[in-house]
Amino acid sequence: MSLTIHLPANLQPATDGQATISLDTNPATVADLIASLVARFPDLRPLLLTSDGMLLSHVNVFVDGRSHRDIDGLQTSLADAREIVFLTALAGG
Amino acid sequence: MSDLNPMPLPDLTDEERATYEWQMWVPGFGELGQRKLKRASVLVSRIGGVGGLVAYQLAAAGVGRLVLAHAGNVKPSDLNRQLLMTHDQVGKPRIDSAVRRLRELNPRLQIRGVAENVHPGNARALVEDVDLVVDCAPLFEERFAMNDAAVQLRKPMVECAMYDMEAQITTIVPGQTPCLRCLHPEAPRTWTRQFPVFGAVSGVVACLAAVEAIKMLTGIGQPLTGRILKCDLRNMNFFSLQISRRADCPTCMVQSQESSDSPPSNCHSDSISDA
Repeated sequence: MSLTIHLPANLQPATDGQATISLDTNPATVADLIASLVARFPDLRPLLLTSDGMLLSHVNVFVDGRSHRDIDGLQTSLADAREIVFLTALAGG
Repeated sequence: MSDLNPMPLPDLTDEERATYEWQMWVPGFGELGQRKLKRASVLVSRIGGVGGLVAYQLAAAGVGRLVLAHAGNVKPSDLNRQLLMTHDQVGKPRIDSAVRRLRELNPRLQIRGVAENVHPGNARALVEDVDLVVDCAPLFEERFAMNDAAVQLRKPMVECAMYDMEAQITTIVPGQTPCLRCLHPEAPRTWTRQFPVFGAVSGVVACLAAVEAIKMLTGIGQPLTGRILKCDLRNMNFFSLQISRRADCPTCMVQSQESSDSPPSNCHSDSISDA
């Protein structure tokens, strides 16, 4: 199953300007997805993770419209997932 | 939805009926909805690119009273998006320019202009003065101060923000929905006071926020409670995302202790291993 990942504007400088990324094979979990994204785009690391590898608290990962925090956290399975949306905190007013 | 304001509904004048005739045709709104707007008071925190248009739309819709908070003087760089500011007002207080423009649009509108930005020292008094808050501040410190006061006082708050060509909006109902700190417990270290913005983008989220405020004040439609709308205007992708309260949210915990409610349990570890 292919997976489409939507990234917010403030992460796109770290992904060569890509707003969406498609994967032919789903990572097993949200943690695996983030690890693979960071491996592919190293500049994402400080935008997603703390220095000790924790997901930054203002980053939310939505799996088919539901927050990973409301499912199984970073162990949320992506086996049947079709769409991932990263949501980061904004304050532009 | 219960009324946010316990005061009796005011009658409309003939002039008001003529002004709001077309919106009173909206099914479910009618003259009763217009009277609810006339009775209502709304705080808009900062009246820049987002908040200025929120205030303008609420003034046009006939909200009875606005409390506006924004410090500083008009700068040339405000004028691409801050539609309550005008070229002839550069160097003069923003709040004065905003009040003048809003009174030109709606001379019946009651306005309390506060030439300060929101901070922990004034947030509670500002929130206490109104039925509903619209948070449009450009700094997380201000947003968190507003959020904490709104939750403590159980006042609903429309939370709207933008960056670049993206916008986000949700409606917070204290005790029922996630608050801002549930969604984002901490401010991003990388957030800066200045950010890329088109006025048309800040205007989109502002109009959405004004619609949310009208819905909350009059009870029409389904507000964005328990979900956040993320708008990618560069690619025209829109996402409605479910959000929940955090069991460890310090703001909701205090509010829950005061009201003897219990927040839901949904806390997970967020540690990542390298691939």
